[in-house]
Amino acid sequence: MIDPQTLWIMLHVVLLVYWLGADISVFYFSLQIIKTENSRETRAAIAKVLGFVNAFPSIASILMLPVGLMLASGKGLSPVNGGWLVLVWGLAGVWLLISVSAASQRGTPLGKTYSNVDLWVRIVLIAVLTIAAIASFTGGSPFASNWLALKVLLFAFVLVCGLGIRLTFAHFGPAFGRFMAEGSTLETEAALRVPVLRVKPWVLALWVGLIAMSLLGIAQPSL
Amino acid sequence: MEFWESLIVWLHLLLFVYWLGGDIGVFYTSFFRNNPKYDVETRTLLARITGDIDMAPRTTMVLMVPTGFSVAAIHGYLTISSTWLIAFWVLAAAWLVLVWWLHIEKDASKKAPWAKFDLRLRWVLMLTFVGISILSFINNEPITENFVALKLLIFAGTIGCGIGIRVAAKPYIAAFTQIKAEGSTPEREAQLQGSAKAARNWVKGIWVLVALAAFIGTWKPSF
Repeated sequence: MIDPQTLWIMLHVVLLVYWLGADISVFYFSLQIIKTENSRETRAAIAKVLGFVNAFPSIASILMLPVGLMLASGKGLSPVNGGWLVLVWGLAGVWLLISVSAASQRGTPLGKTYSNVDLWVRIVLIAVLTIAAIASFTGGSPFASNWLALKVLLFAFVLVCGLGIRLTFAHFGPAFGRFMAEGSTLETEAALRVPVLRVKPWVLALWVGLIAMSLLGIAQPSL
Repeated sequence: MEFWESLIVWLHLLLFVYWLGGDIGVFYTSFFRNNPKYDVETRTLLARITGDIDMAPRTTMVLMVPTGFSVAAIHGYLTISSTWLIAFWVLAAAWLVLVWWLHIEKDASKKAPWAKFDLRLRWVLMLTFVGISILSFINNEPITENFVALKLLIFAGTIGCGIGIRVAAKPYIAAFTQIKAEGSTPEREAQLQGSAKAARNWVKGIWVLVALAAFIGTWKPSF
């Protein structure tokens, strides 16, 4: 028989595939979309691909937390068990719906509301996870293992990077709309380039965070 | 886990992440590249971008050979000497140089003999790995665990699918070259679509096999 823990580990890894692995395409497409040698039609096609591929990291990143907590619970490393896990899954499901709705209704007032709620969910999570990690380091609770507490802290860091991406990239959509309407001019190209270049350090930091988390999860060192 | 063990397992995992995750971008962009509604210039540019992103799965597949054998060795599932492992790393490094050179070099006539060599190498590797796998199922040597031998057999299957893609895509490349030179005709588009569809089936085959190999690696069943 397959240990349920095996299935959760597999799911945990598959989520990383569709987060970190898909992100490399998102990153490369964003660099191509600012290249002046690519025609307007090409860049319009890239924008569509970008929108599609970017959905994978968005969804995977939200599911990562409940799946991670399932794993921690299965290993006996987390106080979030039983009914609390059900609650975590319920909340994650609602968050996923809000996030997906924010993306699918972008540009509408309702989409804006969803997007704001999603932003606050992330801010609260960053605070809660950071506090939980620090409490674990100093007081040994809620997470008894320091490597797991470090993963929790890194997850908060990754969420911060995500917010950095969101804030720096907010200008891209309007800039792209202007580029499509007015064509390639010095101004429209510059307006496209700025958010893409500013988002780079956030994306790289996010990757470093995820890669470090995956090493911690494998090595599970006693810190 | 020990430091080296963690490090090599981690590399193996990241390769899986970028293999399967990187493929999403390639897969989705290909639909735009194949769409006759876009002009030829756009499709050519998209073909170049798709080719660039495709280097993620191509690179990871090559590196999967030495990391896979190293993971097996470090867990004590291999009876071969470490000299062989070094040979696998050197071979993979040389093969990787070839794969990248084939991507970067634009002169088709210069590339042709090496592309043929690369294809033959894939045949040789596939058959060798099938041989090693079957031998191990029977003799428990050089791979001592059946699930590892099965993983090698599945990996040979992914090489086979890669060969399948190359064969299936031949009419595609011919049609795309004609479209670029002489423009789009319904016949050329039909040839392109048919070939692309066949190639996509091989790609999906790779996805299933790679995910299956990852699952078996996580599960580690003894049979």
